[in-house]
Parts: sequence; C-alpha cells; structure tokens
Amino acid sequence: MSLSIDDLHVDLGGRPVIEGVSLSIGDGERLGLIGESGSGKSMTLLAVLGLLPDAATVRGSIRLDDRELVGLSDRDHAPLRGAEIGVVFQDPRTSLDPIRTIGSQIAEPLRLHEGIGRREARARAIEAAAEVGLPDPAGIVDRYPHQLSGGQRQRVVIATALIARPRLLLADEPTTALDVSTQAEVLDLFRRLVDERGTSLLFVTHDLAVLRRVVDHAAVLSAGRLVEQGPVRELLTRPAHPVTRGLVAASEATTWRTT
Amino acid sequence: MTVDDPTRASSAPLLSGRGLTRTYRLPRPSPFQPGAVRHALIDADLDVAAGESVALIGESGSGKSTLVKLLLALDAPTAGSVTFDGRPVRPGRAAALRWFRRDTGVVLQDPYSSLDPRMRIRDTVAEPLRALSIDGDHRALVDEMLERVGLTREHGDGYPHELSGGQRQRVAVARAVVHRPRLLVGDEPMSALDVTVRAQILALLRELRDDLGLSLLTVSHDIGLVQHLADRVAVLHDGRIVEQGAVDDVLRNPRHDYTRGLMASVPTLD
Repeated sequence: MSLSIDDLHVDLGGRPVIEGVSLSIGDGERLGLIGESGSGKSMTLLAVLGLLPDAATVRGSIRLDDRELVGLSDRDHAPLRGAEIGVVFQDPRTSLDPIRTIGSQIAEPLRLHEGIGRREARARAIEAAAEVGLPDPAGIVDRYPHQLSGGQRQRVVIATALIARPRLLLADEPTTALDVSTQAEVLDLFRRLVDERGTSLLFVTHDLAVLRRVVDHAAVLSAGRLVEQGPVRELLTRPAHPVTRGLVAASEATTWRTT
Repeated sequence: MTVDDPTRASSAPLLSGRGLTRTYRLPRPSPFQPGAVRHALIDADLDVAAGESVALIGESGSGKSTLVKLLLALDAPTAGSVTFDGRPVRPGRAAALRWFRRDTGVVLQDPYSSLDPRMRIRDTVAEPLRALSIDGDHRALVDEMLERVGLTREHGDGYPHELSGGQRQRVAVARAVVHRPRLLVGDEPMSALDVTVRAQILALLRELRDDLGLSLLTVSHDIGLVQHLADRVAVLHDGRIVEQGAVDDVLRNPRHDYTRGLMASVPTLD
C-alpha cells in the first residue's frame, strides 16, 4: 500500500506544528522519519492515523493508495486503524491493557474488523504469538502483560499491529524502552516480518543507529518542516542540512564506536 | 572474577565494595515448606578511585540496581562491606550517614518524574543544601551551579513544566552536585533523552568531572554512553560481576558469553 503525504500543515490551537511536509512511501517500501522531540515526527504519524487532538486543524493531503484521509470523519477513519494501518508505539507498558489477557489483545483487531468469534480469535492469536517468537504461544495468550518481560510485551504489541495483515505499518520509537540485546532482536523481527509480508513501513526514531538497522531511506524533520531526505548512508556520511549534521554529530558522540 | 587492570589507580579507592551479597527470602509456598532464597547479588567487588569514572552494565534483573543501592547505603548487604574514603558505610540513622551523603550525589533516569512539579527550580536544586545542613549562602551556591550546568539564574525562578527535557535533566544534575560531592552516581541518566540532548548531557558530565574532580559511577545499558563516559566498566549478569576492567579491554575483547552477546547486538553507525 502506498502512502503519500503532500504539503501537510497541522495547527494546534493556532500554533503551527507541521508546516508543509511532503513525503511518500511506495508499496512495500520503508521510510525512516528522524528528528528531535517536537520536530513533528509523532504528529505526522497521528495525522495519518486520524488521531490528532480535537484542537488540531489539518490542511494538505494524506493519501492511502487512492483514498484521501484528510477530512475523513472519525467514523470513516477508525476502521482503517488496525485493519489497513498497524501501529507500534514506544512503550509496551502503556500500549497494553493490564487487565486483559495477551490473547484477547492480540486478536482485538480481528474481532473489531472481521467480527470473528472467541474460539477463532484465540487460535489466530496463538498463531500470531508464534510468528513473533513468543515462547509457549498456546500458554502465553492466557497470561497478562505484567507476567511478561519488556521485550515480550513489545512482541505482543507487534503481533497485535500485524495480525490483521495491515499493508502499512507505523512505528514510533518501538525499541527505545528496551535493553540493548532485546532491542536488536525486536528490530530484526520487525524487519523480517515487514519484508516477508511486503508491508510498507514508516519508522519514527531519533536514534540513527537504530534507524539504519531497519530502513534504507529516511527523511529529517525539524520544527515541523522536512529539511532533508535521502539514503540513510548518505545522511550519515554527507549530511547536507545543519539539523542533520547536528543529529549525526550527536549520534557519533553517544553511540558505540567500533574503531 | 576480578581482572587485573593496569589503568586502575594504586592508591586507596574512594568508594569500595567487597564481597557484596544480597539475598531475598521469597514467600513460603505453604506453612510446611521453607521459602526459597533469591540471590540478587553475589560476592561483588567494585572500586571507584578518586576522579575515576566507572560504569555498571547488565540487563534488567542482573543486579546493577541492587549493587548501587548497597554502595549508596540505601540497602543493607546480606554479606560484604562498603567503605568510602576508608570509612565504613552502613545503612542507619540519617545523622550517622550525613558525612557520606555530603560526599555523594545521585541523578536518576527520568527528569519528568524526579523533579517536584510544584517546586521552583531554585528550591529543588537547594534541597540537598538544606537536607544536609550545608553552611553558606544557599542562593549563591544554587545560582552558581545553575550557570555551571548551562542554565541561568532566571531559570531558578521557574517551574519544571516550563523547561525542556534536556533542561530538566540539567536541573537534576545541578541538584545532584550542588553540595559539591566527591562521587556522582547516575542511574540510566540519559535513557529518556533525545540524541542531541543526550550528547549535551554527556558533555556536561565530562566537564563536571574535570572541573570538580568528581568520581562517577554510572548504571546504564547504553554501551555508547559507557564508551564515551567511563574509564572502567563492570559487567553484571545473574547477580554476579562477570568481568570488569578498562572499557576498551572489556568491550572490545569480551571474555564472558553474556558480554559477547551484548556487544554483538550493540547498534552502531558504521
């Protein structure tokens, strides 16, 4: 599924937070979106999801294949979330419901969008849990989030995001809250699943070392504007815009250097 | 295991833990069975020399936090001992530990939750001065420290919500060192920060270390931070220090399987 954002403007209570962002992801392509907090990365994601705060006004165009999403009522937008657009947010502690079983959460998009029954939902949840490498899938679906490790919880979130086979996946700092080794495993899982299914991916992060593990192309946002985009390798070795240069310098000063 | 390390100062360490062990008794499964014992930390030796920067790495549950709590006398070891500048340190009455608290400062992970939202920045930073009954002009000491961490005295009149995440972490650092401790302990001091802010706080910590002659003890799972901030590193796994030594020796030539696996998954730019 292709996503194309054209001259997107978002104002929040009269204050511009996104000013003329244009970017596109072709069917099965992956794009990274980088920038500091407040640069508009997450707002861009929320605009695609139709989850901007009520105080927001949106101009420009966001097209999912041929469908225009800007101006869509929540009633028309909601069915796209989970079914055609999957989402993985940063912190699995807050994106999972503590009092519902893992299985019922993984299967929720199916129950919402396909109206399947309890038994089939459970079977599909077990299947999805196995696909994301959760141990003892048949047992884990009956457990609760607090009984899982951080990495397992994020696998649950990924299983939930992908169970309805969305053709576009949005990820917002999906591994920031994880340990180094868990982070690497989850990133590899991400990349593998997206590859296998030909899912288009928009991956938001401020961490260039994480970015280059998952995507080959990225766009740089700063203060609501897109300042540069291109192959990640180019951005890292020949950053053109001062903002990109700042991000690269900061990454070099804080990331493990092999030499 | 303790690795011989030529970079280590031969003089007596500032902070020293020997044979630190902490076990917890788990609840009994029934009145007729004994409760199991969990070993959170087993026989850990760790030194921090004056002016030295030491990092502790290991995954959640490895014993890093337990070790730090014991070293800071926030918890009592089941076995082993801690000394600071040669004096024994044990949890106990606040008055008996005041000398030790005056020589230590702590920065926690999350600048959002570690600052009281209802307190002016100036009062937050001044807290240790009051709590530790430090002599002198507190206002002047706070203003000086705010400037030293890259803020202004005007920031002192504001509240945490008026600051960015990076500025809040600078406030947390100012509060940790306002009473001029000799040792600064950081628990994941940068994991909640953006990369640019991370680079700034890292530079600030290095600067403070040089200017104030601070020793640093940093707990982190961020290998990049460890490389750029620490001289020595101790790796914890399953409650034991599995290796320790100079950062480049340990992390470039890891001997323990856990460290090898860790280094194989570290994100890099090249």
